[in-house]
Amino acid sequence: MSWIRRLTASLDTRKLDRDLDRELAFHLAMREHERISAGAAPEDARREVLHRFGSVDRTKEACREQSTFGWLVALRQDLRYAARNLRRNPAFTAAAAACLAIGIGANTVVFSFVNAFLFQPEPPGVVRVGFASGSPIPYRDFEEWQRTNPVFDRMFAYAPGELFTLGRGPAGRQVLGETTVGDYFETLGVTPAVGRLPAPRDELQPLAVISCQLWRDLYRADPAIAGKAIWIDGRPFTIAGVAPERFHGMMAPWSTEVWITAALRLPPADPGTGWLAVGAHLKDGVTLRQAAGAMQALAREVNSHHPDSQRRSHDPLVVERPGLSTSPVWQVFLMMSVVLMAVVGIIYLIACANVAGLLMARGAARRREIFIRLSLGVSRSRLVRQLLAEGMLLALLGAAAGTAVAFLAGNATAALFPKSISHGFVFQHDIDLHVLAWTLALAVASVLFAALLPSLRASRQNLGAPGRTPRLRQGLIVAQVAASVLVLATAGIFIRSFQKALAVDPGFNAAHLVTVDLNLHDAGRTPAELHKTYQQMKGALAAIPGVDSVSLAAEFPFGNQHVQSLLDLGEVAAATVDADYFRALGIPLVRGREPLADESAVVVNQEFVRHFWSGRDPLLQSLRGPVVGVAADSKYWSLAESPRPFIYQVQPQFDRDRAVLAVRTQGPAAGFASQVGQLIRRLNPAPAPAVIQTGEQRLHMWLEPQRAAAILLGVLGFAALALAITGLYALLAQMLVERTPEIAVRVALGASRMQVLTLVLRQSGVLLAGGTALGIAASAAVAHLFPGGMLDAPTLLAIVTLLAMVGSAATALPAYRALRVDPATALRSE
Amino acid sequence: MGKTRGDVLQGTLDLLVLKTLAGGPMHGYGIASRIEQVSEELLRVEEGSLYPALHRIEQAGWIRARWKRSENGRPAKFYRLTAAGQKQLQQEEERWRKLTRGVSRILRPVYR
Repeated sequence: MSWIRRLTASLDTRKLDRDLDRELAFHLAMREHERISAGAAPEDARREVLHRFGSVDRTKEACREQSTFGWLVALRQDLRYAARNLRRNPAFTAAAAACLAIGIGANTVVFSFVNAFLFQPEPPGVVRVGFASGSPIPYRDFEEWQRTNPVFDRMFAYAPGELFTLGRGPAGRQVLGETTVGDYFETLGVTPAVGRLPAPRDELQPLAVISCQLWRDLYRADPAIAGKAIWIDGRPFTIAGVAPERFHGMMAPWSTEVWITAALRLPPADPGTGWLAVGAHLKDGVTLRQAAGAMQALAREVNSHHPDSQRRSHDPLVVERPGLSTSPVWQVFLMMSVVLMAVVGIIYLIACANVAGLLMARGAARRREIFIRLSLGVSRSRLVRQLLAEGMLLALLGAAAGTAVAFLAGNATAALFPKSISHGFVFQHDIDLHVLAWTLALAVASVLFAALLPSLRASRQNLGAPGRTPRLRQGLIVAQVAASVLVLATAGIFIRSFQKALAVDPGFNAAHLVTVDLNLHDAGRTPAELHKTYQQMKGALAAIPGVDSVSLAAEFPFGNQHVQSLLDLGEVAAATVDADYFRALGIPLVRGREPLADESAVVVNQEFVRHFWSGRDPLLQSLRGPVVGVAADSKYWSLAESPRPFIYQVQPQFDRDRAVLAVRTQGPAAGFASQVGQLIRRLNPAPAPAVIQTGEQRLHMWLEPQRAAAILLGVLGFAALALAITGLYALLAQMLVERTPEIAVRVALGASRMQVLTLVLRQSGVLLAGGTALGIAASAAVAHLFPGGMLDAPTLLAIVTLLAMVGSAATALPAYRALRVDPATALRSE
Repeated sequence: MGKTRGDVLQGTLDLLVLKTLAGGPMHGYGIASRIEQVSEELLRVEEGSLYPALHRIEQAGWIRARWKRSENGRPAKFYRLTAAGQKQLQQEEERWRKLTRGVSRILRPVYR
């Protein structure tokens, strides 16, 4: 307990100081007495004693520093002193804190998005099992693997990225959902926030799990939610529980909002159709490689049971560590996260450099104060600590303001993400403990980056040393300008590549296209009746003035599609469509003809011909029906994919219960959407509402992260530039203050206004030009890191022009002041 | 000012202070005078370092301070050795003996 006594004693600084004074006074008095007894004159004795003792203040300071908790006392003093200093210089404090707020806030915003997914719990030992080609896995295969594999102790499958309609009638809400099979939740280590999560034994019951977000939005966080009914795609499910806050499903960076058991889809009508992604948990001691070997052997065996699947041998199984995310934008999102984190990191450093510059300028201004304190016996380390305490207070101010900025900007940024799109997929970006810890870490680091060096320099000042040109500060400005050029160039590169992505030809004409996603599963109609309903809808839509053609397809590009295995040639992605499909989507046929309305035919794409039938005439071939045409390659799942073989199965008697109607319009699609919607609502016999979208909306959903990142990068680029220019301005202004006497002398000696102006302009010009050159060199190096990234001349020119403009603006005021220096006044004040 | 008297070697000050206090509680001035007196003026305590040293040793728990009336009637801060300080003193003495033995062996003239 003695340390508690010592602590409380340490904190009573007034008593400690009094004691110390008395102790030393006693010592000095005794010595004086000793000298006088030895025969010295009283005044000589006093002088001798003090001379022998040395600095009393320094000794006191040294004694105080011996206390175990002395640092605490000193810290308290330092903070109090720092706070007083900051309060006395509100302009400086506001400028420095604002810089840090921007630097830290930008980091916090980006980190809050990345954090939501990077820290999603993904327990060790969980792997993804799938075909090398990425084709979806049929239920039959999953079941067999689950039953017979020797390497996993748990397996699960899920149909990722499904669109579910919640509720009944036209008020239904579209959410991102997953159908789960097997041991999904337990394998992923997910525990319920409320209720329970379905286990394999629940597979045959229609159960649903909802996300925390949905639970709050739709059910006002009702604690008794478990057991309630929920309508999903027009069928009643029972809510089993609520997923935990941090679990977002397998479609990161989108948040899945509803998980359902596969009760209504098992056993599947066509067991050979792939629709699943598979994950598993490795048994103890099994390595990834062993698992892959065992699964490949198993797959060969499964294939031999099913003679029709021999062809799968060229599509081997792979077992890999997650990313389990099945989202087509995940890779893009990851790349973007890295780029954004790097960019906000740079901005953070620019902000720190600014604060360092400001502190250095202030260190120069406070030179006199620091000399006095040094000569009064304050130790250098104490002085450094005092200056650091100021830095720390500034950093905390900045962090607080930054968090507030992040909170506001986070919502604004989230608004950039696909909420605008009808599906309203959710991007998580909460400010949680991880984010706060990150912010605090940044604040602490900024003390080191921004305050340490200036403090050390300030404490090392010697009396009489002339005000040197702040070399270090100039270096910082050059680095800042270079960094902001780099950020702007990155934004430029990104916007270019985004424009390129926008310009990627999806292979079909997305403009002037309205799509209708229908789910007639619960319409209670026979296939024949369904066919009739579709014909009716097609007819009604085609009758709208301005509609060119209407088509029907079971699978649609960039949609809720399932890929089928149809051939003896291997797993090939396929779509079941009607004869009008190619005309309605604007997919050109490079050979052959369009299928007739009443024939069952096949159209393959160019890549299919290249891959399987090189050298043969495709039109003489036959798959499930005669091949009547070859379609141009197009994109089927993502804009980034390379061409792959694809088959269009043309079915005249279209009777699937899920379908997409494609409506080709003459004018802009948006003008037709509401009309199409009204018509479909009238004709739709099913409880599940149809989803009406334009072709461009459908397409751009996949570009949302890129678009958002491009906008963000642009904003960040300007933030970086603003910070760098502020730094430049501050340096020039300070330089001018320091050199005013010199300028005054020059003017007095007859220097022309032009020469004075040159002085300022040269300084600013050298820094700007140096920084820009460095920044361009760095950008050119960075550009190679982006796939297809290129630093083009217009982007560069724009950046250089921008810099020149804001650079001259930052120079103008100091230059104007320099011109107005009046030698008489300036020299008098010296 | 000629350096006729040796300044107390860095690190030995603790030992000297502890040893001096082993003779009974004493204030800082007393400690300094006693060391000079006992060493027959061979050692001189740097006063600027004596007090910080006393405060440090007190924080280490080897000595404890108390205000008492001094011999001339003025209140003074008296330090007294604690049990821990006693143990520390023994260790320091032992270390010092080893050090001096070692150093003197090296300084011994070598005949060969």
